This record gives sequence, structure tokens and C-alpha cells, in this order.
Amino acid sequence: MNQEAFVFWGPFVGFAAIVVLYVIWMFWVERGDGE
Amino acid sequence: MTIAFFLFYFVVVFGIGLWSMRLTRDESDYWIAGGKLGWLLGGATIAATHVSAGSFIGTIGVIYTAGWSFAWIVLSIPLAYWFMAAVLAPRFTRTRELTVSAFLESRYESLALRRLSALVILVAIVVFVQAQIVASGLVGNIVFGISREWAMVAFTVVLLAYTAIGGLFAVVYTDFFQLVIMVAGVVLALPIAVHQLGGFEALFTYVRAVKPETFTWGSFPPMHLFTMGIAFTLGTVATPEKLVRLYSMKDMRHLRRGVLLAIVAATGLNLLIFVIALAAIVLFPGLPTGDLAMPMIARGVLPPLLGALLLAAIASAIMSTVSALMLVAGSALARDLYGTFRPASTERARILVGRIGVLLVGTAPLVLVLSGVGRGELVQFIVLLYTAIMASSFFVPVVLGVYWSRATKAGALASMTGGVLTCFAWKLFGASYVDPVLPGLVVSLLLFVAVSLVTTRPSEKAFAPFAS
Repeated sequence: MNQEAFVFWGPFVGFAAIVVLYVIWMFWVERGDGE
Repeated sequence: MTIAFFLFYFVVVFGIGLWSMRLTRDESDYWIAGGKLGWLLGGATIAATHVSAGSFIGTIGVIYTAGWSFAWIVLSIPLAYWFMAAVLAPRFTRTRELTVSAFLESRYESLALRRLSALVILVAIVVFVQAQIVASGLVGNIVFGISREWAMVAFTVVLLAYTAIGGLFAVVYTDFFQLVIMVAGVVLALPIAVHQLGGFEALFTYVRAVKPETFTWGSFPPMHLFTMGIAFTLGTVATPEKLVRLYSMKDMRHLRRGVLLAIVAATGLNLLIFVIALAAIVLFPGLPTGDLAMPMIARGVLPPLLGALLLAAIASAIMSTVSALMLVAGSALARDLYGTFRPASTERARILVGRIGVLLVGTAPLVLVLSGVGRGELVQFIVLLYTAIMASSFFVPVVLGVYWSRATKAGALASMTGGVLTCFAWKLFGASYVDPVLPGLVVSLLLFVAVSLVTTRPSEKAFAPFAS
């Protein structure tokens, strides 16, 4: 990946990755809580 | 067409304000919506409050002027809200106070801290709201053809009308409506703007031709972005209007889902807005200021109805943020300052004092702008100072306050005072490439820990609600 593509796509990929991790965390916490 | 659409828009938000007044039965309803919000309304109000003129006018202006690398700053949004949901909220929401200053008073058993924090909130919000008011003048001037001054007056009057009447219920329901307008405006405007240029491939080709440095690190090298990202993240966590929204949520389950909605909506909206900025680089390459990029797209590229919708989206971004801030500043004035000197005897009188507080605080920024004190070039940089002040004053006493039982009121007072003063001093005299939030936070943390350790251990009662 060249620098131009990295600069452009970085925020989109980072956003998607964080959302996926958040959803996994959310279900993990709620299963652990027994809510 | 545009004027009719806006009049309809104003009637709807004012109607929601009036309708919400019926939901307000006590002070808890007025300031924190009774702590009854589910994930949909709670998440929407967090997102709508977050997306401000900073996104629609300021940040798009920075992308237009300085290039795409600034878009990386958007990652601070999900990180900040995740931190709030995972680290702060589980303990912070155990006591359901009506204001952040009231939380500080009960946690540190200090009325002085409550008053000091309320003063910081008042000053910081007046600074921040001035920037939003200036942006509203820009939009009103374009929509109605009236002077910017009159546009600012009109926006403030409409905002104050529904915020003062309906309290947080009015703000939350109008936020939901305004978020829908924002999403619709941006989602519909983007493909049309890109289509005008011949599709995404053509857009990127044109951007490279007009401004070759757009997709480089350019004006914002990674280290600079990193420090700005820290400022945004920590500032978002510590702002009182966000903390109060944690109190307004029904329970942790709704809070976590609401935060997910807020993350997706606020971050997604910002990214789409940034792509519209790219279209503006090609379509309007010679604008005197990047702040005009979005209004120019609305007026010069889109069909009339869609253009009106996009302008309404900009107005929504401004109004949803300012209404939340006015309410928080109003609560600081009415409850945490005036109310601690002369508490009203009845519930009804306290709500009336609250409404008067919101009216006073809401009028102050307008007066400052009209008198020439509060005008700025790029709105986003004023927004950045606001987040820096908030982070430097609230982050440490709030976050560490719910985790560290040894923290004392003297530590919190020293931390808040030192943090704010350092922040201002750095802005005035410090190196410009280091955001004021970093020295502000470091001083705040050091004073908090050092002063707490050398002062008398606080009572166990104060920390009891937050103990694990």
C-alpha cells in the first residue's frame, strides 16, 4: 500500500476495527455480568 | 424553498420543546431527563451533541485547507466514548447527581470545588458557544440573506426558547430529530456532489490535480496528529455535557448500546463530511476560508430541496451542541453557583431559577460575539481550546476520583486550578506545536497526586459509593 492510500483509508479502517472490537467487548462484558 | 424548509424546521424543534415541557415534573427531569433514557435516545443525543459546527464548518475547513491527514483525528471519537463506557461510567453513574459539579462536591466533600468547577464550566462554555454562534451567523446569512448579526440573534432566540422551556427532555428529543436531519443531509448530499465530478475515481484524480499535497501527511505529520488526538480524546471524556448524559441513561446496558450508536453516528458522519470537503476542493478551489466549503456545496451543487436539507443539517449540528451546552452552563449558574448561595425552597422555584440561568448563560455568548470579542477565523481551533480547558480541569478529578480512595479535596482543587492555568498559559506563551491539553493534563495529574498524598486522608463515606 502506498502512502497516499494509507493516509486516505487509515481513518476508515481504524473506525471499522474499533467498532468491531467495541461490539465484541460489549457482548463479552454483558455475558460476564449475567445481565 | 430554503426559507420555507427552515421555517418548518424551526417550528418542529420549537414544538418539540413545548411538548417536552409536559414531561418535566421535577428537577431531575429538567437537568438529566429523570435518568430514564434508553439506548436510542441516549445514543442519539450523545452523537448530536458531539457533532457540532466544528465538524460541518471548522473541520471540513481544515481538510479543505490543510489536507486529508487531519481526518485521522476522527479516531479520537470512538476511543473517547469507549473509555467512557468501559472505564468511567460503571463507577461514575453509581451516584446519580444532577450536575458534574454536584458530583465533585459529594465525592470530595467540598462546596468550594463545586463552585470552582461551575465557574470553569461557565467560562469555557461561553468561549465554545461563541464559535458556534459565529457559525450560525454564516448559515443564517446564506439561507435567509440577512446579516450575520441578525442570523446569530435568530438562532439564539430559537435555541433558548426550546432549551429553557423543556430542559434535557427537549434537548434530547430535538437532538434525535436533528441527528436524523444531519444523517439524511450528509448521506444524500455526498453521492450527488461526487456524481457531479464523475464518480469517486474522478474525484480523487481532480483533487490530486488541484491540490497534490491533499493525501500526504502535509500540514499534520503523525506526531502532531497524535498529540491533537490525545487532546480530543481526553477532552471528549471530560466535558460536562457528555458526563451528564451518562447520568441520564437508564442503566449500564442501555448506556453501552447508546455509546455504540453514538460512536457509529458521530464518527461516520464526520468521515462522510470529510469526503464532501474533498469535493469542495475541486468544485470551489479558491474560497477565502475553508469554513465556507460546506455552505457552498449546499448552495452551489445540490438541488434546492437537498441544499436546504444540508443547510438544515449544519444548523442542526450547531443547535444540538449549543442547546446541550446552554443547559449545562445554565445548571452551573443556577444550581452550582446561585443555588449554593441562595437555594430555592420549592421544586417549582428551583426549575424556574434553572430556566432563568439557561436564558442568562445562553445570551452571554451572543452579546460577546456582537460586541466583537468572540470572533475567530477557523472555528475548529476555538473548539480545540475548549476541549483542552475541559480536559485539563475535569479529567483527572473525575476519572481518578472514582478509582482512587486517597484523592482529597485539596488535591482536586489544586489539580483543577493548576490544570486550567497551565492550559491558558501554554496557549498564550507555550510552543504552538504542543497542544495546551498535554501540559495542562500533566500539571493537573501531578498536583492531584502530590497534594492528595500530603493532605489528610478523606473520609471513607465520600468514596464509599465508588468502591469496587
